Amino acid sequence: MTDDVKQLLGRAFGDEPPLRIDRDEVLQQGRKRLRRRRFFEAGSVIAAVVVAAVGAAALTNLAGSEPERMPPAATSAQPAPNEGLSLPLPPVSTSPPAEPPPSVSLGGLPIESGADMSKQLTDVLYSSDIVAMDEVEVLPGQSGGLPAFQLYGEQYVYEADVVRSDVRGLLRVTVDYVPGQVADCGMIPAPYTGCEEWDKSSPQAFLARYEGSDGERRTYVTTVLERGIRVSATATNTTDRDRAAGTPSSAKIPPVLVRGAGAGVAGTVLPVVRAGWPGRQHDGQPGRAVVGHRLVAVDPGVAAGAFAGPARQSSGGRGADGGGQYSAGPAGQPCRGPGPDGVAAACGRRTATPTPPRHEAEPGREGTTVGGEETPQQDETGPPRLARRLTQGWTSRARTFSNRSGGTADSSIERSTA
Amino acid sequence: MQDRDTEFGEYLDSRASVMRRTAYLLCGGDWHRAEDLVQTTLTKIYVAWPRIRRDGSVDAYSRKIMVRAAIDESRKAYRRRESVVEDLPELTTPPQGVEDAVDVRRALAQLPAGQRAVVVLRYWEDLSVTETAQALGKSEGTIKSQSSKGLAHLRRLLGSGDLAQTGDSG
Repeated sequence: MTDDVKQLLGRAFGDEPPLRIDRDEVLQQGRKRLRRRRFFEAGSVIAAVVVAAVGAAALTNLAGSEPERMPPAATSAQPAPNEGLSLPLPPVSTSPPAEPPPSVSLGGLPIESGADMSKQLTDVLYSSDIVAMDEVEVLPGQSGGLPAFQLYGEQYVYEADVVRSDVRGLLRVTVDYVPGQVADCGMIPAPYTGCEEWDKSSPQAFLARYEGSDGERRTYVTTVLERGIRVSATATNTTDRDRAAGTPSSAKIPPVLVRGAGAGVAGTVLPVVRAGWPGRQHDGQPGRAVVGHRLVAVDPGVAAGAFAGPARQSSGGRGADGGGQYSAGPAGQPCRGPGPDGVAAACGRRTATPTPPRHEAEPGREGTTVGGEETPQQDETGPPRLARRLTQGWTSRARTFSNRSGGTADSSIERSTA
Repeated sequence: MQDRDTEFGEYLDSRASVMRRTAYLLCGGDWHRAEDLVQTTLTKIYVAWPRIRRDGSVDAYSRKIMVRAAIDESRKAYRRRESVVEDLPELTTPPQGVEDAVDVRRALAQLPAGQRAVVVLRYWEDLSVTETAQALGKSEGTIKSQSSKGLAHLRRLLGSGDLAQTGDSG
């Protein structure tokens, strides 16, 4: 039988033309492909360094400079004066103001204590040699001259078109708070062609790549640092303008990844950044929690009660499980006194929600955080809905995406073995 | 790099024509596409050459790449719209044996890409069901059923006289 079929298939050849495969051409193509692959891999490390560098800035800010500029959180003795829900809150014992922290320098990346969080993050990014100020442009539809970290909901977001003479692309960096979660490939928004553990040391960093049929190349890196600060970076080879205009990308790799691919930035910056992680540098500091864009120092034991209690949940705070449940309406917000700019913070019911960046609510787009795909105002009393359609071969285990910042009841994903 | 080029060059010289035949069958009978497919495969092999040399599985790796590339190619719509030929076809009386070749080629071309890959690997490359399943990343049961369906399809297209009524049923 096998011979019959083989004989039959052999009859398909007919007159076989001479072989015209050029050995030199194949070798040339192979070398080119190899170069591109090595270049791309090296560039991925740079994206990961963005993560590590910016993450260190966030942590340094959390651990060192906040008590100086932030007043204590409101207690139950200070009810909100306006229409916001007035609910009894558990007492919050605020920590005494810490001594003025020294300025921290991370490998030449100065972080001024007391400065605004967004400004510090932005400064670190521009000091990191990943992107320069004169080669970034704000995205279409956004205001301002120089792209900078901005606060959307509870997430600091940096988005910019990176335009160089030869290459163009988009860089997106996000910093948010995801207590209790650890980084894994499940955090990375689909689609991607492969995900790997980039850095096995603690905290782990995960790296995913995507190569679209339209020529789009995307590298995504995410990590969750100590104390639940998640930092993610996305670099693509297509600018937002080009995407909107339907212009195909001319760059083979994201421009952010081009610079320093062979310059050893990882080797010089990363160890310094690691040394700056608060697990070593800031032991003994009081625990902290993030409420909106305000960072409040509280006693560690009280933090969960203050920011995760049932009473808070009804006013839009986090749920008792710490999973970040949000109510359908805008969150109530206690008075906190003047903010860093000297203007009294809004109290009570929040009437306006900052507009999320355009990519944030779009499933499948780069930089979309886990849990960020769904509508932020989802009614928590309704049945939980699957935020993202899983690609084939993946199964979900009790996925309940109920908040914007990625806090989940259980967002773990396991690879189907079937 | 020089060692890689030398070793790879030797492999290319020794295997290119064999690979082209397999590629020809996988493409459903198009020498131009077959050569493109072989070139794509060889380029990919070049990139991974040190690793696959170390594993000693160059042929298995090349088969896997080629089959997957062929299936990917078959999904592209433009392939179905046109086929490249070197010279304009002339309407002359074909020499003896050519009709056979054309029939088999047409029959192969009408098979779905997955079934064609199974038939080629099983009966042209003489791979076992297990090896074919590994090369295609499918289960053995799928390979058996695809093989059976592929042969039945060929039988129907060729008028049943050429193939016996057996397959991988077991």
